[in-house]
Amino acid sequence: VKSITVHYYGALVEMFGVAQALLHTDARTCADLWQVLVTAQGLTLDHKQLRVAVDDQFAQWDSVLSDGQSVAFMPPFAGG
Amino acid sequence: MRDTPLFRLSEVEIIPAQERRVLEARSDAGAFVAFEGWVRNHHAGRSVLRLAYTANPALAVRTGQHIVAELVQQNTLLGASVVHRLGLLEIGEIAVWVGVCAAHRDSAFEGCRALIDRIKAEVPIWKHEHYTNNEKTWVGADVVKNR
Repeated sequence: VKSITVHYYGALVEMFGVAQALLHTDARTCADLWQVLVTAQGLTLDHKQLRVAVDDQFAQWDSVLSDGQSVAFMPPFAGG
Repeated sequence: MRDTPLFRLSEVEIIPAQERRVLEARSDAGAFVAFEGWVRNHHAGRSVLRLAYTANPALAVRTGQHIVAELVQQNTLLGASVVHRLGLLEIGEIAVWVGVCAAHRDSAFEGCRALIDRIKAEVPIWKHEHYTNNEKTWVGADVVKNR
């Protein structure tokens, strides 16, 4: 079991009701973790619509997670 | 400071005259182009009251710096600077300021355009639109809503 800090941004903050959370999880990859989180909320949002970052670096959805990492889930960007 | 490509986030009002100062130091520049993104009172047929910008700050700054550095190289710009606002913005405020200088105008125009396009597409910043009828929407988040 890994300890992972999850950060949500933009519309995802409202969707999950929090901006960040500390989780203890068996999820292997970023995509696995996302699936766990949306399922727990009773949601069905495909991760392909989002971007993910691990420890403040853009990451691939199949990136394998390690204990103590921080994962950011980000909806489509809308700056400017 | 002269050659440092800059991207930063600001919680306070953007003052263009201050932002361009870093670029004015280039005595080898013959062209300066700036783009200002303003908060508009309408979007997609709706009446906008104000905007709230949020970001993933560490990732936004690193990504923005990387884009500025890359474009300075590609477009033979002599300097470039970008500031993006965070927090609540009223109608007419500057949401983003992009300034570039180059030896000649072609590079300056092209570099400025490329810079704002990439900032919008690649930097993790989000826009929450507040409408005059008290409704609010996350811009570009249609994939997230309605689910």
